[in-house]
Amino acid sequence: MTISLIRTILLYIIIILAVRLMGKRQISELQTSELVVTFLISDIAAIPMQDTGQPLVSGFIPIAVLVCLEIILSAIMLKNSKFRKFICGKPIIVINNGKIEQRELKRLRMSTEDLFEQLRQLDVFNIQDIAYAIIETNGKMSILKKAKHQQPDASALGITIPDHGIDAVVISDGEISDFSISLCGLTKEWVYGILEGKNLKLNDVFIMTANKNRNYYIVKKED
Amino acid sequence: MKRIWIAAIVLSAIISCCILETVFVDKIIDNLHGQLNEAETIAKTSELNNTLELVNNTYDDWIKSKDVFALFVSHGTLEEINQSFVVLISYAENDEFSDFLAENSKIVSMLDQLKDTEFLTIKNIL
Repeated sequence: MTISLIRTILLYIIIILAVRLMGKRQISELQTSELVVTFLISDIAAIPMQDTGQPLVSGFIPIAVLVCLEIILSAIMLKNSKFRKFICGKPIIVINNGKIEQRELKRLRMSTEDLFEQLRQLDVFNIQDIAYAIIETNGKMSILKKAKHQQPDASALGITIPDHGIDAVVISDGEISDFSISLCGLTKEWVYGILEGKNLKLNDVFIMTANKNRNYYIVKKED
Repeated sequence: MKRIWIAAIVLSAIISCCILETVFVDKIIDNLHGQLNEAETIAKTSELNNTLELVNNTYDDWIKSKDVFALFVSHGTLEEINQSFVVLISYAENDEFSDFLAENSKIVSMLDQLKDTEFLTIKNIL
């Protein structure tokens, strides 16, 4: 029992290190090869975790090799676009200038139902609104609507929207965030000044957000 | 860039360890093999009791290297070889000649198999 416990802790640490080394990316953003490696790592780790007769190193070595290869491959892919195309494939246009590319859909083994499902998930309910639809290398669909169906932005409307910068959480559950304060170009003194003006202590604040224009919003802690 | 260097260093370290492991297995198993063959020759030419010291020394050598083997070989396999060594010593003590030879051959075969599975051959890779 104790052996299993210690092995599980060690493998947990190894997996955390492996995932950290592989970098921050969400599952949905992973390339197919990265996704497969992630699943493989969890599978490999489970074997020595369950079977104490199996050397721990037999789990550690494949994990380390997979992670190292994944990192080295990603580095090569960054430098060499041909290699990247070979490993990840290339984006495929399924709607080109409003025309559905049936041959590409067949090649992707993608049914019209799949196509419409993905379009609906992107808030498109009429295929005639689409100028281009592209299946990216990670399997997600990107779309460009026809010009007449696109929402106009500020520049198209010829108006200027004031830039407030990012609203960052400067206090979270009574804890001040130095990172958020510097992100908004504020100072701790300014934050304390605001709290003093409101007769609040740091511990009374549940959330305080602020932006570079010194606009703020405070949510007090509930009693 | 730092990550790539870490990955390259870890990968090189693993490859080096794998090469060292192959050399270690080869050396230790050859040594144990030699001692067991010698014990068999002594058993065939003189009294079985005369092999006792040699077999005990071989067992000690095995115990010393067993901890390193445990890092990469299934613990069940190592335990099986260990038990065979214990049985071999008891046969030598009780002067059971034919059983001694049979057990000795069994250990040699198990050690050979251990070496075979760790050795870098196409057969093992595929």
